[in-house]
Amino acid sequence: MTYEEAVAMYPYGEVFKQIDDVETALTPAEYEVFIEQQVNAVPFS
Amino acid sequence: MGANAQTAVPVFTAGQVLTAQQQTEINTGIPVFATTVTRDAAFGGAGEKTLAEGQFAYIEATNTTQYYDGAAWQSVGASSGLTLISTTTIGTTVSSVTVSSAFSSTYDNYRINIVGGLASVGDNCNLTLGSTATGYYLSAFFLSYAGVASYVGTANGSSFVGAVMQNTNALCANIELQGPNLAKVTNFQCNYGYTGTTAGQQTRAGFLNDTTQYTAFTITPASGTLTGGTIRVYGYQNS
Repeated sequence: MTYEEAVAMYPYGEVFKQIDDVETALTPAEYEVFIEQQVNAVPFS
Repeated sequence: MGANAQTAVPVFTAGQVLTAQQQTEINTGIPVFATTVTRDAAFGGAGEKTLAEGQFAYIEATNTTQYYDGAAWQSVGASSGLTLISTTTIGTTVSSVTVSSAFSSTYDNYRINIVGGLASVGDNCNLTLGSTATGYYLSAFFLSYAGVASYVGTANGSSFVGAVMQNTNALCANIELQGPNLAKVTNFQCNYGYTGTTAGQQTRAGFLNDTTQYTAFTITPASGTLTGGTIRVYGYQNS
């Protein structure tokens, strides 16, 4: 997955971290880490 | 916190005039607490009873009645088996889920189950305890539905890799932990069948090589996000 594909699939502000019952949108830095994680992910089979 | 929940179990001196709140607190029968945390904070402080054998408590979070046996809190009517500690509903498009009050001194051994929900992509979720990101040792056995076996190992990794199955049609976890809240290494096992017709089953086991006493864990997808599903944490009765 390219960086652009990852951003299109997971737009900023629409990915959350959850602690117990509380969801919080990722910060810009957390979002970048998340997107890089998607780019580097090995396709699961 | 419910209407009858209290945060202290008071003691009084001879001749003391009680307030309405204090009279309410001693008229509730078994004292009611929101969680085991507020229960523990209600004893032993200034003006509070000293916790001793025979004390009862009702916990709203788990709908359980407990008694103190002189060393630990035990659940009434559950002298053996599993006790539900917490239930967490996974939200929408989350990249991690933390359960913050999963482990305590009440239990040595735990089971974590996840059911329902789905992921944006097929993969696995990783499990971390507290904020620890090193010292995880793990080996995994994989057997495909076609009967082909393979193995993989991780030494001193950053998580218990693959602890949870995530697919676009389901999430699944069946995790066992021994001693996460003890000042000893924590042992880990899990197994599940991957919900893809060309996939297979996995069995993983290992340990976290530190003596930190953990109260929380986090589930993090290796890729993608999670939506829906329920995380239930159970404690095995110590006796």
